[in-house]
Amino acid sequence: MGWSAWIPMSAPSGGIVGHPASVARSDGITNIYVRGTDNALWQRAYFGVQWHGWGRHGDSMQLTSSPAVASMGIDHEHVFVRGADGHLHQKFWKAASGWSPYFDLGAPPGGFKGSPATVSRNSQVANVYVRGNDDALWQLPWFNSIWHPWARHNDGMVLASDPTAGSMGPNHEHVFVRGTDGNVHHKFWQAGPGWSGYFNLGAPSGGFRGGPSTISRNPQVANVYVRGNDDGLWQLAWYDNSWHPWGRHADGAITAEVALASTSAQREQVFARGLDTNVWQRWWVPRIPTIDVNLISVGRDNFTAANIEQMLNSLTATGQIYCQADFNVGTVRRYVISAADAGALEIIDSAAEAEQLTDGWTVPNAALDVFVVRSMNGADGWSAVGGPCDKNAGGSVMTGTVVSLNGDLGNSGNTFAHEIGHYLGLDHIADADNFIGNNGSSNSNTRILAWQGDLMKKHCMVVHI
Amino acid sequence: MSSELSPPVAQILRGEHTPDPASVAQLPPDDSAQLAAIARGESRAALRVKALSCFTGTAEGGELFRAALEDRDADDTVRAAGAILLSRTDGTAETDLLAALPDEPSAVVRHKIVAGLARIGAEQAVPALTDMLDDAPADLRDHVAFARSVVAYRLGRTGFELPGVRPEDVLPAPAPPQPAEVGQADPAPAGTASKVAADVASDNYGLPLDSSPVTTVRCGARTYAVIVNADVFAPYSRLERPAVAGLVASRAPVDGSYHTSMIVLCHPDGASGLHIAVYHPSGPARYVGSGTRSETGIEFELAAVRGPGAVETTITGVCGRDGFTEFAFTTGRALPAKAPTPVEE
Ligand SMILES: [Zn+2]
Repeated sequence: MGWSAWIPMSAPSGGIVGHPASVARSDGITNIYVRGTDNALWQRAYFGVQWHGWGRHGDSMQLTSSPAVASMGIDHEHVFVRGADGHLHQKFWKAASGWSPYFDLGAPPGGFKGSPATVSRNSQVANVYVRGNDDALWQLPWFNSIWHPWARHNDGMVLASDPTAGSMGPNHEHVFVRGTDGNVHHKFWQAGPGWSGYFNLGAPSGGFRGGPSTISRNPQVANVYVRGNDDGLWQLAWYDNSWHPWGRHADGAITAEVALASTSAQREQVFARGLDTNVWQRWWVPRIPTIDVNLISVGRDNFTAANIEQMLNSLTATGQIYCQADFNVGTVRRYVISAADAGALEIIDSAAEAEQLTDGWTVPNAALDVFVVRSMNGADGWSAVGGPCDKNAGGSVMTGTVVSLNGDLGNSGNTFAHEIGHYLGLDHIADADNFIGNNGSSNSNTRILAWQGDLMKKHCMVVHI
Repeated sequence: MSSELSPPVAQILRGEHTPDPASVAQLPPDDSAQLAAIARGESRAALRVKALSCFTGTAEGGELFRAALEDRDADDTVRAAGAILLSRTDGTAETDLLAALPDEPSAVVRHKIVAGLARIGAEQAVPALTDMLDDAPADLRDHVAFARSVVAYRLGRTGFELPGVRPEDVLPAPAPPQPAEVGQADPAPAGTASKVAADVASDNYGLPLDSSPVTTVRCGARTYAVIVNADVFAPYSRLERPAVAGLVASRAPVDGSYHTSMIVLCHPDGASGLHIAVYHPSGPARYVGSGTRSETGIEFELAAVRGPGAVETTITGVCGRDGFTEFAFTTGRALPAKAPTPVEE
């Protein structure tokens, strides 16, 4: 509830090494940083209400870790990496001057392992945390406009992962690490009392891989995410002044620690490396309205395993398109019509046949009937525009939408989104790259405009939790 | 779309609804050849079907559709596309369809071939369909018999009149207190007749579209174009034989295109009476009733036929060579539609 589908964010050529890093320095700007297979720093930016392409940083730094990123203000961003020399290196971006060169920030006396973590709890303070080669937590602080020496946390904790750091306010900072017991351990700093001792926060049932990641989207909420031993995304949440049990995200396999960002107090973004070593994104907002779907295979006897896979993936693609406008596919129930019962309508050759199918068949529930045929001639799909919620209104309007598996997955994914979009009230638009644009010739487009999502969400079939 | 496609070909395969016939004609020769190669032999059936559709109304379409129909190594969706598209081209497609029918292994392709033969209306289909009637599997038999009748009605041949509907299968007229929806019939707005004629040109069941009057009927969110067969009403003596009296085309709300959705068949019933029925092109009767023939036209009354999702309906009117002089359309209660079977997961 509240979570979008996983949206593919691609990757520099060859995928990414390690885990991504991300930051939202304002409500309209998010940046993802990754280590490419060329060991260069790569960046992908969201601004101007859209994601732009991956870009390679043109410096000569060869990364030997995943990057870390934070922002000390809406016009500032800085990135920390471990270089080939084992030192921590920093570069920063300011609106006025653009990117700085790298600065060598050295290393703890015995060196450090893995990747750095960083956080700025206010515009005057930045901290970098690393796991020393002695498996202790080490900290590099910035305040009074200068970097201070590396300091060791002599708290007895033996780290078994990189640390992660977050802040729940200008005078609060907390660090999460994996202990040698395989659990997440947490300590926090507050102005005045200083550092707390460690608290054991346990682990997902089945344990987890690597280290934790954390973010606070507002001062009342903190979330910790880990990659479970089952490669699922697991989440531990702090709200109402207490930690709640570990919960698993139902879908998606991840292959590294996740990166987190938040553009507002009620929005949280997760960036993960998928099985394809590309970056994937999902996000949380308090309520994402959904459309429940009855997926009806017409002529099921002749649906191959590949047809069924394409059908299900097409609906997933639809969710991914809609999610960009904070709308999603909800509960999906599957139904079949046998080839004998479908007769000549197993393959649709006109809008009239599509009407005949929706007139004759209806799933007796409140969800949208999506009739899936293997093949259609003269079109990829047909639908009512602003179809009814009363599915017994047959005879006066199409009471469902009819889609085909024509073309490849890119085509049929668009077909499903496009035709369901019609049913939920959308007309074609002229925009060449819109999912229902190009005056109808939109097949394989994935872009959606916010008003299109808002309009669909007003349809009477849409579920608002 | 695959990366090896040239941009214009990728673009042309992107249409979601009815393809623009001009777009293929405007392709440069290399791109046109690439599209034809996909339509001829692409191993991914779903892509080949899309490419085939692009050749609707083109000179090379016939040969590509014929090859698709005859391609036993291809997916049944490819042969179905071949049958559908071939039956919508001018020429002698009935020969190819009749040759392909007996050995076609796929039930849905057989349906599309039979529907195609009805669409073409060639005389030689009558004996061929008669021959296969006895051997046809049950699910196809009704469709074959219906297709044969459509051809016979179109040719004015007696002996293949469709049976009447049992009285218990005729739905009662919508009656109060059931709220009734009243359809509106108007002469089609300017330009509609030519738009309808263009859209249903390859699905015309023998109607002379350039001279047949068009009336639009609105029912709820649906718009229908009712086309009266000008040839049948002039001279009226044609109504003394079985005839295709008209077509109903429904307007797709997504792009405003018209699609033949019903065929109106009539045959004499007594000295001046007519039996009139309205069918889906694949067979099931939707409305049935009677008419009275006079020198100025026919006065008719139709009711809905029982079936899943059928709606109680009364359609009355007077029709002549210039279209309807009277038309009224009232609907009432709907019967339940069939329910698809849930998948246990
Ligand atoms: Zn459309």
